[in-house]
Amino acid sequence: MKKMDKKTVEYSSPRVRELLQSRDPLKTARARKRMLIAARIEDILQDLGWKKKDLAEKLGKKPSEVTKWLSGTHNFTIDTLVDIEHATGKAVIPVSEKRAPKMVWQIVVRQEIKAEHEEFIPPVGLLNPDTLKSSVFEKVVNYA
Amino acid sequence: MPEEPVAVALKIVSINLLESSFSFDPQRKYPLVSFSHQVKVENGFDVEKNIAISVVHITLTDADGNEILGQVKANLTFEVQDLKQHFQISESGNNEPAPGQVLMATLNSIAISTMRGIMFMSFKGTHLHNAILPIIDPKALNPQVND
Repeated sequence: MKKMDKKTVEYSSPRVRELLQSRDPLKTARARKRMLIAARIEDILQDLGWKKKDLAEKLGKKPSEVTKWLSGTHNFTIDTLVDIEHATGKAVIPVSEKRAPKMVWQIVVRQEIKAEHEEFIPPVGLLNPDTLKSSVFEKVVNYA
Repeated sequence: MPEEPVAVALKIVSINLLESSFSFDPQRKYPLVSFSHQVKVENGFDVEKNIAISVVHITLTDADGNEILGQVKANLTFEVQDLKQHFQISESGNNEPAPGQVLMATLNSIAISTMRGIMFMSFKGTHLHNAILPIIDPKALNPQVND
């Protein structure tokens, strides 16, 4: 008995490659979005336990029209989407009604530093360690 | 609408230094002993994602505010637990939910304190070493725009 060859055979057709390369990305994006909207409506119907005819009845449409919507090829108008949302009580394409809030706060603070030295004093990290030591020691002596 | 919770649970997601510069005029008399800090905090919110962003811009000038000595700008991204709870209907009348006082005081306070550290690190060892941003009561900040 001859064994079946179960190995995947890579098939490459110049015609298929040509077709894939000639795809218009914008058209592909539109088709994808239509499919996603159709899938979303189908999910809503499943959540509600509705059949196509239930939605059709609610909207006063023929079930065949709902079938066309769910095929993923229908170019929906905003009005149809709003009608579906209204009938089902679920958002098909959620859109936020509010812009992101933004606030701006301001204050001006004036600052006076007590000048203890006439000349510019470098920060502690740049001081000569000997100077630092003597200054600390001096403070201790003065305190005592 | 329920009252705003008195505590805010949040964490800092990121800190980015956007700008840091200072000028040095050799003709001036040093050390500088008086400064003016112009502090501007801009807050943006994504309520759905529980994200708050604060952009703090500090302009350090001479006491009269005429000459710019240095500038630091940074942004902080916070993740705030249940951000929606901290939004209240504003009493000023437009019926739009606005960030509550506790939230704003907390965010602004953390943003300004963080900025104090960033500013100190930016000016450390320069003639602006002593221009440490004073402690600011976040309630003293004046709201400038609310749209």
